[in-house]
Amino acid sequence: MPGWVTHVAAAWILGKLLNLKCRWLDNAYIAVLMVGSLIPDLVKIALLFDLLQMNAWPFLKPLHTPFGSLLVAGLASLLFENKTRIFLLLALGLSSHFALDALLMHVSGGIGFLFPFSWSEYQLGLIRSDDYHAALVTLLLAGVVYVFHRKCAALKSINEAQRFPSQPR
Amino acid sequence: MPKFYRGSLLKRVAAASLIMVALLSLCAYHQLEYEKHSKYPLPEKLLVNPGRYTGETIWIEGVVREVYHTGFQLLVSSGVKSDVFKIETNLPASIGDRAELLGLLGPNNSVVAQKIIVYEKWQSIFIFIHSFFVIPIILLILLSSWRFNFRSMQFTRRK
Repeated sequence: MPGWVTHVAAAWILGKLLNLKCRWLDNAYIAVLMVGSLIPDLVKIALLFDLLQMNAWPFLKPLHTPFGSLLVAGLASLLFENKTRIFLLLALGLSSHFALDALLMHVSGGIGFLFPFSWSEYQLGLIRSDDYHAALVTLLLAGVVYVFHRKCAALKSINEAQRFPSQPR
Repeated sequence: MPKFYRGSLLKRVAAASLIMVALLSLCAYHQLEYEKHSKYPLPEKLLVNPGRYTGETIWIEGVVREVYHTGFQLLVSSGVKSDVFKIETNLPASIGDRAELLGLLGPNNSVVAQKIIVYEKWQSIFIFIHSFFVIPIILLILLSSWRFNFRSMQFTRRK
């Protein structure tokens, strides 16, 4: 996996860019999107079982497939009022996770995109999972998006002020 | 608890139960079937009797224990079992690095690597540490905009 910093930063970038079109997608919803980007890595719970010398990977592996992650997202969305919207945001977040993980290089295997309908696993083999450059590039991109987003917001408020000037009493 | 919350809660508990059953079924299905669909011998089977798979291509992952000029020793663990494999490769590695490889298993746990990736120890630790710090940060970001309402058992937006 690319580190969680990469996943979370990528989800934040996605959220901020979507916010330019969807005004309702504010920071609270972007936080949900960021949480969604970590859902597939719930499979890492197996590491705790490794400490107990138990191999839980085969049982938990479906959590790191789109179908399993969507079920977890469905479960999590039940804890919110606006379930459909939250579910869609979590699904978008976990999609960004799989998009990044698909870039990884392994000697065998990859992501079971079609599990449980097919056991085939896919990988693009472009970056190594321990490559910190991916995190640096994503953080740099997040910085660019932050500046761009602020400029857009400032321009928008200037335009609105010109269109609706405050009336003197 | 008000009636409105109780009705909604019951519906959500029912939906959560259904999803949990689906999720557990999915996990159980993978646990039961993954051996059939595995391209290479499973590490847990391989470690019990490596000699059985001599001449076959295997996939293993472990920690580098010792380094020589023709390769290195890899400690492979799975559950309670662990064993050392002698990897023949010209790829540089240091003690403590992690490696995953596909290779041809020979006698006495020797493996001729066909495809190999070595992860440097410090990079693995670095990723682990910076990933670990993400958890409290994400919780802080989430809980600064959402509050868990114990009456309705739901997250509601903070004003």
